[in-house]
Amino acid sequence: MANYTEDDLAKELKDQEYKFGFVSDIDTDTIPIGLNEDIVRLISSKKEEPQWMLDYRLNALAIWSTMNEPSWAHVKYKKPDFQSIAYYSAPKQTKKYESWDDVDPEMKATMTKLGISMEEQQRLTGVAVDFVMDSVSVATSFKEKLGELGIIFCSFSDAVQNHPELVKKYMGSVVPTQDNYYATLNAAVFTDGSFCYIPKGVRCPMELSTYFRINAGGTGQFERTLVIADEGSYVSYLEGCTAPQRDENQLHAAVVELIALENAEIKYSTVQNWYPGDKNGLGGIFNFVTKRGVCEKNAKISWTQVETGSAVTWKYPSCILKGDNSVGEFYSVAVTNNYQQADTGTKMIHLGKNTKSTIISKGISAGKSQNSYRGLVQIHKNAHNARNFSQCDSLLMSSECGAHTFPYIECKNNSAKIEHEATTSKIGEDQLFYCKQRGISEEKAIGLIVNGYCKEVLNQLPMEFAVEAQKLLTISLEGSVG
Amino acid sequence: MITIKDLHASIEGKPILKGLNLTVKAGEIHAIMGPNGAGKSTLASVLAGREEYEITQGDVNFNGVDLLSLSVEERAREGLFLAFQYPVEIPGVSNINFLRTALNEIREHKGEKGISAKDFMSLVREKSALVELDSKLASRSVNEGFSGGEKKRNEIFQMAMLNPILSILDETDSGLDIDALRIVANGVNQLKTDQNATIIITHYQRLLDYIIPDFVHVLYDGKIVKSGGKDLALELEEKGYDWIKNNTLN
Amino acid sequence: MEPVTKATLQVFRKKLSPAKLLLPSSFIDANEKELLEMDFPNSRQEAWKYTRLNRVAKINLESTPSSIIDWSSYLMVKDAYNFVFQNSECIYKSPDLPKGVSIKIGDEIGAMDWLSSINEGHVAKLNVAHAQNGCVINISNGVQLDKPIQLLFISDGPKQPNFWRNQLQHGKGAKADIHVGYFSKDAIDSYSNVHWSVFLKENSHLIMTKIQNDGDANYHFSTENISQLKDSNFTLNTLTLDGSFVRNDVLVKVEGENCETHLNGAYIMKENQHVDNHTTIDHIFPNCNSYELYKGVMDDKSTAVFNGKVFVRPNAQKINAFQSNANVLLSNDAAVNSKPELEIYADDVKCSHGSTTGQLDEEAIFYLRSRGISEAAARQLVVAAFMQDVFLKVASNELKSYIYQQLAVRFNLYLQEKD
Repeated sequence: MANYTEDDLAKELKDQEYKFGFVSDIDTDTIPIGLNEDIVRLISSKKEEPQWMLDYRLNALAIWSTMNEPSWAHVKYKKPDFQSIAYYSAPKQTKKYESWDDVDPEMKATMTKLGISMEEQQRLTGVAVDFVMDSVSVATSFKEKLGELGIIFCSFSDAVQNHPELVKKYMGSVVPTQDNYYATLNAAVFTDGSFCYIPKGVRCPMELSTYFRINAGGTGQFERTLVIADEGSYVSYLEGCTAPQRDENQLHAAVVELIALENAEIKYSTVQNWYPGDKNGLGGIFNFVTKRGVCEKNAKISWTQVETGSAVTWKYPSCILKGDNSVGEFYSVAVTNNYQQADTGTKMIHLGKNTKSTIISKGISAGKSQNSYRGLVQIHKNAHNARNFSQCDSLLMSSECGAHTFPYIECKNNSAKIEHEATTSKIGEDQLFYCKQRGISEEKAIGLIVNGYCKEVLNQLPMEFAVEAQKLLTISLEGSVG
Repeated sequence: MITIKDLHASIEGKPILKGLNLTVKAGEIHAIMGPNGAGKSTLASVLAGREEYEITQGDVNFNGVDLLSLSVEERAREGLFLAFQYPVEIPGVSNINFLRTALNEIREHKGEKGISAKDFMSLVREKSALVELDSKLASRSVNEGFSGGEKKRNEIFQMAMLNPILSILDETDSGLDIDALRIVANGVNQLKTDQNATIIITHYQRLLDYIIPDFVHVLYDGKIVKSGGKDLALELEEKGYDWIKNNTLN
Repeated sequence: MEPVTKATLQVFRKKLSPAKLLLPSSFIDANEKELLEMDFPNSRQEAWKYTRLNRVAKINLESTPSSIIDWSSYLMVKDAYNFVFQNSECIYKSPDLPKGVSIKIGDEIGAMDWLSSINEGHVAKLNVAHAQNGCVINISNGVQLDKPIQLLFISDGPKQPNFWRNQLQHGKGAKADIHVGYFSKDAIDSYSNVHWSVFLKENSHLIMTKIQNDGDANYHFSTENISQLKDSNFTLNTLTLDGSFVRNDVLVKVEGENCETHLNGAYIMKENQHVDNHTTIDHIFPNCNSYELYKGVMDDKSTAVFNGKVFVRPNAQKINAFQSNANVLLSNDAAVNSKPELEIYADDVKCSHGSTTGQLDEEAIFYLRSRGISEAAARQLVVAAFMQDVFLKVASNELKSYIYQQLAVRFNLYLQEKD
């Protein structure tokens, strides 16, 4: 982070409109719009899936058709028309990519624009990247090197073909098919995503990273991520999201399942920067995501998220602390500006003894946006000596925005200790004055103060992501005061 | 350097400054003394540009520019520095990052290039030694968890880093023990050149034992009622502010 | 668990008498129709997520006459203007009221005496439909009461339904202390539903302390709707010392600037008891402060719910709102659900809430025992210490000592049973 200076930031700021708003001119293979059994069969056949996978999808579709879209979240939006979405869109390709060299140059250009040039990544940072554009995973780097350690890092489709036993065993084990409206929809129509397996006792030597991008218009993205950390293993996983600027609302309904077996640790970081819509609230991504992990004995799952994008966000990365002594963490920064709405938080379900959870949530609302923290801390009867600490702070940047806190604390064990604190306040006038008296402009002062406010969360991110996140925070709040 | 003419300022409709006149030239140190409520801190706030105060009359010329027409940060970039009586804490923002941002904004304003990381760090080392500030404090969050004395020393450290033309020290001596007072004063003295000037706002004269002023002014009821040399401070200390009050009433 | 069906509410109402109080048509008009279309809420409804009404829904209420009881033993403080209700009768009315204070009871109240009120949800609607008795208190502008008004509501007999409806209008600059006590006698599957509408005019000062000391087997539903005008100061202390099932719904609408609002609550539960405190402070105007402190101790299989909401409406700037809920579980079968909520639509505010759940401080108990204090006494002391900051909010010293006395009775009796 030391290399990144305020001058770099100033340069970035000149390009303050949503900079990932370009559309790549890539031929896509998009199926007709609509959702029915035939479409699900079509997706499955396009992906040359085995029968069990098709059955899984059809079962999900049948369940979904009996469900109602939830309305409890503190967000207002026009419900998507599920029959007008194309559920499969893939960059056209004649054959599977054998190596990086096979990748379409236009696609490579797209990645470069996103700042994820594979060559660069490979050479400099040693981050293994999976890139998911619209519906399919297009390139996974570092496969061989990881393979030597027995680590499987591939697209979800590849995993269905090559590691069916793992997929069958774990898919839906944390987020069951019938879990909720969007997760069920995802189970029926998911097109690709990332899969990762870390064998027993292996410490993954590099950050694994997936970039998601919605490119084509009129489509949604429904990816699925499955991370399995076998006993005593460790992995740090990064996820980045962008989408082009479009006037329409596009739906992103993903499912992420994490399985941390005994003594394993998974660190999952997200920098979510889906297109938030324009200044008047037109367009933007509906981000309805189900993320959940389960911790076996002594395992640990740590979620870190920096959310600056999406028109509407509905997302609660959660931990089921099933094993004794397991640990769940949730660190979140959610920024909303203009007409953005976010309803996000976490669930910490304490089942095992001596389980521990920490929740640090920083919400920043600007413009006319609405930002809600919604969290559940649940201590079950047998969760002796469970501990939770939650701190939820909201910062208000305009008189027309809203900041809300809805924590649910449920305790059924008297040896538990739960502490929840929340504060809501305006950005400190005294702090702004102090910065300005030292010659710092208001915009920069806000950037500094907000980044300082979020430090506890940003510190959880791997270095490269932290820099990106800092920039994003500053950019998303441009012009938000005054 | 700065000429304040007939300055009137009020807060929430209540007049505080009622026709204040003051001229400070380069190379001078002025002390402004006065009882509580005389308007000392208001003067510092008005010069720095706090928006709660309404300027109802008068003008301030700062090196040829109309100071009151400038925004807070423009005043700072023109070389006006306020050492706060109560420096605010900014959690999560490191002193270093804060100062580097400030320094570069000021440099940019002057048309200079940004300072390199290496030069910046050596400047930090040099200037923090001046006020005997532990370099660890420089990397901590701005004022967060600092003791009262550390906060004041940090103010002088920032002053040293930003190299202002006019520094206003607002009750910098309050809450300082004798050692800290000596360190702060020593810092200020070392920063003195014939190009810059300092206004010291204080209730007590003890700081003036360490920083010798060229002029001492007594502020009372929003106006400067008496001016003199450094001896005036001693006389005040001896006779108390009632002496001024009685003189003014008569 | 059987699902509550739409017909359940109608069955529940079958033997309830229609309202005896004369209420304005604006209250009644839509009420009956709405009641016919609704049912007991189930746990899918957010406001009833943690409080099941299945058992309440099944009781067969029927009013039976009872002989007048000796109410003096229920008095919480000695020197007060007393009013006592036993079921649907008012059995005692203070003969002397100070100048500027009028209290109308039962049929003395005309429809015109009722100011408009919010009657949402099945509890408030049932109250409108079946209100049997209650009072309308008017405290004139500038009146400062020399001693408190004390109102006792006693439910007597098994399967007894009680619907009390009250209103308090507190004049400009008036100052008063109101003590309200809820008790029950021989209650088996009894049901009390009490509704208060309180209007504080400009610059008035009101402390309302309610003691809920119901015996076993009474279902108690209490609704308070408060409206505060400019410069007023309101305190509501809700002390639930006993009661098998208690639900409190408090709504404070702060409808003027420079108001202060204090909501304090204490609940001490045992056995299968259940208490649910729902509070809302709605800041509609700027420059106001609100403070909320609820603390509870749960033993055996008791459960507690706290749902506190603070709203800050758009343009209600310069609001300071603080909310705190702390719980201690004395047994591993006890449970607590806490939901402190903030909904903020203005930016220049300072709001915070905190919620803690834990055990009694075992270190403190050990310390006391090491000084020779018995474990039972040590526990009682530590519980009292934990609850103390709520009890200290009760302004009246006499009432405070009543509370401590009740607590001692409650704990001694109880701890003896356990030994």
